[in-house]
Amino acid sequence: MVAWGVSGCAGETDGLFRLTIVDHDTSEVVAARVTLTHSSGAFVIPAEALPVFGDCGQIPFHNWAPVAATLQTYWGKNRSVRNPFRGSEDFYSSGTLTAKLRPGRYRIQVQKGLEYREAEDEFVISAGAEHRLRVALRRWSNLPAHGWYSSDDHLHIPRPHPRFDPAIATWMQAEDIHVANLLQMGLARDVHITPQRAFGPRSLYQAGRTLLVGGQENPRTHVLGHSIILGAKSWIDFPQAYLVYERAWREAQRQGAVAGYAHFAMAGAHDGLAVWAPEHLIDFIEVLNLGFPYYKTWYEALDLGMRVAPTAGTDYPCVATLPGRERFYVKVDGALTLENWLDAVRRGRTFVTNGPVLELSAEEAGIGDELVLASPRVVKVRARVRFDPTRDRVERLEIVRGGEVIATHAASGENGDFAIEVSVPVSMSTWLAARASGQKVGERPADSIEPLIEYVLRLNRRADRSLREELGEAATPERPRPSAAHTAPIYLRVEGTPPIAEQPRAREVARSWLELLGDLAARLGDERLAGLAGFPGSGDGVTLEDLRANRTELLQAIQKARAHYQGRVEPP
Amino acid sequence: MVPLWSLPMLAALFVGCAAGLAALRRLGTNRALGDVAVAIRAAVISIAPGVSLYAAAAWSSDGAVWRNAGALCFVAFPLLSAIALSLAAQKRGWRRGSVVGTLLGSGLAVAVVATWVTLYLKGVRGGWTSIEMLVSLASVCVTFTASACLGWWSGRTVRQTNDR
Repeated sequence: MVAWGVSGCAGETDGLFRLTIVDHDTSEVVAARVTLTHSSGAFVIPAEALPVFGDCGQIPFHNWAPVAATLQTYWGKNRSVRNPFRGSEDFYSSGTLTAKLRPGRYRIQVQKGLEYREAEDEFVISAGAEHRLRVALRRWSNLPAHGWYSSDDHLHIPRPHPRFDPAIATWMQAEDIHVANLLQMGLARDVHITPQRAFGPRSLYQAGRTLLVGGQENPRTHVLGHSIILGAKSWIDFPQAYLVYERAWREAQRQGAVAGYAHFAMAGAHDGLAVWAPEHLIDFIEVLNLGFPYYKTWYEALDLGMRVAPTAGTDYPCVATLPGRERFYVKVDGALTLENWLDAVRRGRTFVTNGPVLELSAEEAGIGDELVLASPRVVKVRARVRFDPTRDRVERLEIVRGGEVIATHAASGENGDFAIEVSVPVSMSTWLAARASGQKVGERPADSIEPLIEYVLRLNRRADRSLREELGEAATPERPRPSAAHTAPIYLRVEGTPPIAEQPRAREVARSWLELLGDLAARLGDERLAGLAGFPGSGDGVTLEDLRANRTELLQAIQKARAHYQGRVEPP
Repeated sequence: MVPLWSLPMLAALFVGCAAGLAALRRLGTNRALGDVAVAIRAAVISIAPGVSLYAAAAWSSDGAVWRNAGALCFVAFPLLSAIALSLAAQKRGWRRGSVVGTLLGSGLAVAVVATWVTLYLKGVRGGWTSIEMLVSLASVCVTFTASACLGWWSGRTVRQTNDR
């Protein structure tokens, strides 16, 4: 398949194509992503297509000459975007578009995020003639009407100058992303990739109900994982103590931001979480990313009594994906403002998804709430999943309590909407969540995640020895792409019973995290330090000197965390 | 990431090339040292304010303007060295070397240093030690000087000057 661009100076025998994309319910012109295919199989990218940008490791000249960021972004813009899910070359439209096209038959497919059904049509262009096409996109879900707004917490789209704001905002609208977190990426010792001109409130650009916000993926190392900070007022960086994440997270908390871990808090991040979890500095974990879900580390954190929200993000364009493919919805009270949105993330009012929409309630409590019971009793729990059957085939809806599935509804021909209602006996404090799983429909098989597994295994963490088995289906070659969604928990607190952190499951997790910390301390020993510094493919610039300089403080933090977990394992 | 010692190695390479060209052109010692002295001054005039501006950026809350200005000082080196060498030649009555060569040679040095400093993966606030600063600044100064001389001596008339 090839893609060809169409400019305004095409031949006289061309026909004129005028496209208008509207929301079926409101008749408003809306931005969307378009696949335009000529009958020859070539994908067409009109000159009026919106420009798109990305930066995943361009040589960071802008670190020394900031003006280079604007020039690199301007030169790096593109009008076509690779859609790996169906192998096409797509483009973004603001909603109206005029293009000169070669005569012939065309197929057009229009998508806008997850909540609109895909529109599809065919038309013929004749030489010298004009063809007008109005595409009406129909919603199958309208979560913003109920205060739920979609976000991608992990976009590496540079925004070094205000001139890029309108185009990026329209692009995000085309993917139906309401809060786009554009992350500047850090390396050890002050080197920044995907430059953002400002952060948090100072970086805010709002177009209707679309917010662009500068955030950071920093600190970011193979040793302790990739950390994300959203909503901080400034770039937070401690190059001299780059591996002491606690400093960055405390500063984030001081600035009213939220902090969390990218990439499932897997591998090194698992260690980092174990080191600093007792400090209550982490607000979220990205549990849907890189094309698949992974909940193990997050469940462990919840079982230890941490209140951590699930989030999702794409890591676009560092991964072959599209913005918002994996996203999370946040229930915002009142108007969609950055402050309200951050507050809702902090309160855990989220669910993650790559298609299905989830609802969960335990009596009057909703996602992220705490339901206080005066004594042990039965609680009525309701979970519901809705989805677009042309894009997702949800096979299971489950209710999870303390990491264990307690109710399942296996799909049996329902068409895009089913629910579970169960009475759950609750004898002690716990957490409840809903999750959905299945397969994506009409997409190419998923890419192999073997490179990720090999990367993680090279770290030589004892805890990762069974990673391939833990990843299960995600690690199967040529597997269908998974359809997945998971809500944040509802916390059930039963008065007079031990809190989650003091229950047997918490002791189990504390024991395993003690092992993680022991293993990390061993890898920070003199004999293994050089191997850790020379870790291949990490791309984070952590040197032996950095490890040596930060080791004492890191070992102190490890010691403190061990004492904490020891107290959990052997309560007084 | 590139190691620290790679920059002195690059500087040595430029010095070797410049010395080789000087020998090939049979430049007199006076002429060669005179040009080197001018090139060193041009390098210092470019590097000193550049480094000062980067240092100021490290202490500023928004250092973008300072960093851009610092970068400009370094990028201006080819022009500065060409002007300085031309004026010195005029003043001393020596035949001019190659202005185009100087611009190209110095420009190459600036590009090499910019690439090195980017690949060294340290930023303005990136915890430069005294040794690192000393080694890198000295190497940059030597690289700039040698590259300017290399370009200047690439002109064919330089040897005739020596013979006079």
